[in-house]
Amino acid sequence: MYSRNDLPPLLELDVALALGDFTLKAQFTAEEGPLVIIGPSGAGKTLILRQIAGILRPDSGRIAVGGRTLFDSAQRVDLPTQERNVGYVPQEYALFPHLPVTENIRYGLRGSGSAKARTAEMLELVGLVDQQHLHPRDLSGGQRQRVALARALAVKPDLLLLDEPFSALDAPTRESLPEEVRRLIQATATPAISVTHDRTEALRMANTIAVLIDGCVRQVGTPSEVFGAPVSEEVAGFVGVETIVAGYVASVGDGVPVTEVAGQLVQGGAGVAEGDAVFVCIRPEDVVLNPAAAGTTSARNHLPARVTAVVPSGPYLRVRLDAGFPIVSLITKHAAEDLAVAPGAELAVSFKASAVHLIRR
Amino acid sequence: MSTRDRSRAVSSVTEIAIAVVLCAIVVLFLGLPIVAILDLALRDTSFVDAVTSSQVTTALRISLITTTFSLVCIILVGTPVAYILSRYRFPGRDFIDALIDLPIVLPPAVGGIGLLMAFGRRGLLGEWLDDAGITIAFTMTAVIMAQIFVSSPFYIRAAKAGFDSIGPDLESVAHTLGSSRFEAFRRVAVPVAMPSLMAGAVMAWARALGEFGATIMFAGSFAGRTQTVPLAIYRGLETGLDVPLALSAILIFISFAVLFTFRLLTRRAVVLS
Repeated sequence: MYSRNDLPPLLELDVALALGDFTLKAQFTAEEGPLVIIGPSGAGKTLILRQIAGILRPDSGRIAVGGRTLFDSAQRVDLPTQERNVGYVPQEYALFPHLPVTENIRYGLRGSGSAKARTAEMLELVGLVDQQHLHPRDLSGGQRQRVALARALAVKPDLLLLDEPFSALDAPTRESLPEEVRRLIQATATPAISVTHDRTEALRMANTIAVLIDGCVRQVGTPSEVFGAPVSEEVAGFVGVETIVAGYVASVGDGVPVTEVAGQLVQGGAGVAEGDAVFVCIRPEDVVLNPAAAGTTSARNHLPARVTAVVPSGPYLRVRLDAGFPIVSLITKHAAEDLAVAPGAELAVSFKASAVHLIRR
Repeated sequence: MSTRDRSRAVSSVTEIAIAVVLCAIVVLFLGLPIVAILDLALRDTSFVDAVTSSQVTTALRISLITTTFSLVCIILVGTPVAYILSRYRFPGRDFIDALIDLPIVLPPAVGGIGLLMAFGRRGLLGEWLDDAGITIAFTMTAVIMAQIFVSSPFYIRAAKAGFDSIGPDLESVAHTLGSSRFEAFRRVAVPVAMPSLMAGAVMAWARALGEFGATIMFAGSFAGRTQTVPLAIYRGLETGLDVPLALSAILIFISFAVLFTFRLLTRRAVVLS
């Protein structure tokens, strides 16, 4: 058996590209998929996907997928798109409008002897056997997306690229599809890279998250690293939620789930079942600091915590603490003086059950 | 938007009167010559004789052969050219784009003179062609070249518009699925743009069929060799009305069929995009 460390990284990216006034300079390595690149609109997310696919050529740099070099300006390597074996699902899916579902899925299989069997297998996998003779214009948004996925996965790509996979869908469909897509990616064991501006979507899809802002990659890490410990104000501002830690739902007793996080119990959230693996999300402004000796408060959650860092943030102070897991609190300077907040200080954090947001992972 | 959404209820009596008069003028002006031809051609018992006369059948045969050849040439060369103009940015692209439009605004007679000066015996390439034993002017080849000159812009315009309306991602996706540029062109771009290509081909063919000015300059009017239907109509007037009327009636029927097909195809093109 190979351990994860023996495998080449999912993606090694180091590209520079100037397009008019906009400059993209992205350098990072993602060890494990699925990788989600998040960032605001216009950050250059789609450009990265198009460069990996070979649709757009970087001015300089290197792109390697699973240890295989696709582009290297120094070595003069630039594989044409059709030799990269990378599946691409663009934002509006780009289904071939003149072909029925079957022919769309079959497109890349032409010439292979098992094309028919593979097409049938993919139709089955995405649950579109009954729609196989329809044209794309007769399908719903969710069905179109499944055709696009099946078409890309049919050729067994080394890597699947998804551009804003859920943005073109209506709200109810968008709720259920991320799990569906994750299931398909896992069923076919295809490493995937997707881009999105939606952090909830990123959390549902990702093992690794890269944050792209203004053409630069600002942070790469696990979801809890990126959401729980943003490296910069910009990243923090974009992800909004500053405390995100992984845990398991220990019980759903009186309707309020209790989640175990690093040995501590956190009450709050909704919509989960016992045993679910979840991310516990807490916004810093919802986390209140108290003296360590203080008695019970009205808040459901009350944990001892040690201050690890204090960072001024406008009229507030951003206080990072260790409560068994990293947690961030945003407090006024006045409150900080009262509590003598300083690195190493032993305090207690409290937050209401309603401030806890659980996301299944 | 459907036509019904755009049409408004005409309210006052004056407005109705103005509308009726204007429509009547257009209908009479465009319709009367057509009616006149059909009336004379069909009323005359000699119509059947005229249609089956060798003058008429020969002219129809020449027109059918030459327009078929010119249309095939236009499609084979014009489709990739339209695609290249639609997909790639390169120096001189705007110049080529403008050059393609030129024959639409240029009087056909000017095109005919131009072709003669380029390919005629004393033309720019004439001496060189003469040495190679090739004569173009006043042959069926000249007819075809004249038709291509005047009608290819109609096809290339429509084809380019068709390719322009295809989202760029379609071919990118085809490449990721292993298609070469040519394969993506053949299996994706051409079929998706097909309604536009067909509509362009219909218009180009109709224009080639009606070609007169450039043909008579460059190819002359030799019965059985270069005398197409429009030329035969003109020449036929010298001997009588039967042949011109019969040929005109036939062209009217063909033109109606072409326009009808064109409307069907463009409607499909709109639906698809």
